[in-house]
Amino acid sequence: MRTFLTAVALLTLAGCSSAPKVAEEPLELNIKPLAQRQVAPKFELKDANGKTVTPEEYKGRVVLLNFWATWCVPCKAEIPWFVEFDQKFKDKGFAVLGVSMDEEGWDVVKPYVTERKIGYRMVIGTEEVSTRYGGIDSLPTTFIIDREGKIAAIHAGLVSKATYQKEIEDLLGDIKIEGPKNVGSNTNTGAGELAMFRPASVRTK
Amino acid sequence: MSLLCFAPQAFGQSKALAQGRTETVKAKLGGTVEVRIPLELREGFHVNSNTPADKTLIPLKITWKEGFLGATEVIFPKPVMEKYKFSKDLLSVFTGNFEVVTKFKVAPTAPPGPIAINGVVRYQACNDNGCQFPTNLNIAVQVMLVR
Repeated sequence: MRTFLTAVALLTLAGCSSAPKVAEEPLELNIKPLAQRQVAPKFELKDANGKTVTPEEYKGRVVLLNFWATWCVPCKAEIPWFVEFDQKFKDKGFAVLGVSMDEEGWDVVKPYVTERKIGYRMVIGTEEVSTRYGGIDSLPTTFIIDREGKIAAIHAGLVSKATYQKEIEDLLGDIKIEGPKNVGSNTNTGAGELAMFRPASVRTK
Repeated sequence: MSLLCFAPQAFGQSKALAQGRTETVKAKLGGTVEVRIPLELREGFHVNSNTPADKTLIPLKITWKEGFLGATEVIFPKPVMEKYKFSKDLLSVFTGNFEVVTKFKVAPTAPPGPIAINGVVRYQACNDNGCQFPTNLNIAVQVMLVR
């Protein structure tokens, strides 16, 4: 009886939760096969402490690279998940890196980060970085980067918390997703070399 | 330098807001005139109203270029309070087609005849899935000035 009452209480609490419903939506897994992954484009951006941040320093870790802005309400929905993931998986070799696209820069980002107790690292994005990452023209846009520094998944727009969690767990577990063998080189080395991506999670209306 | 290139699928690529067909209005020199600007949103999109509840959100704003007609008042429609899946709070937005009215004072020294008044709508649009960057829409109205 006690178990039943606990279950009822938990279900009631879950039903009363004020969290946006998107967290409960079905999985939209988007992990690319290994052969189709491309190296995350380089950048050098400053974090809140003025320290230079590059993707290279994250090699060996799975990284969730999230382009966002303070004025973007869907981005706001995801941030608590990312804070949770950062804490939950950091010892397994995971990190979140937020790239704010706010024009006003740290003046608006620092208070926002402090107010919401966002513990993961943040940088201010630039037009150039946006272009290198395919031309970020809507937010949120999130890249999941594998331990090799290659882009394993792209989500343009909001997806469920469960989707991110599953993708992170899969990549942390080094689950290999083999792709077709006739796919060309998966590294970007030369200037102007374009790699065509199409994020499966983009939904137009 | 390496670049990633998306196929043109992302919803942020084309503008969500457009000016609808706007009638030419007649105005007397030295008088006042009221101009209605029809604005049309792409289906599935909304823009923040001129008075979003959250201070971090970017309000819809209209500014008019100075000239023989000076804007004295901008009247926005009543915002709609909508619930979206990504937010636990209701958001103050405009959706679909809506009109913004501006009252102008006409300079008595203005030359009679047709004149264009130009302005800019600053807005930030989202759909259920994500948001476009804040952007500007140039708007224009033809006014026939008469004595």
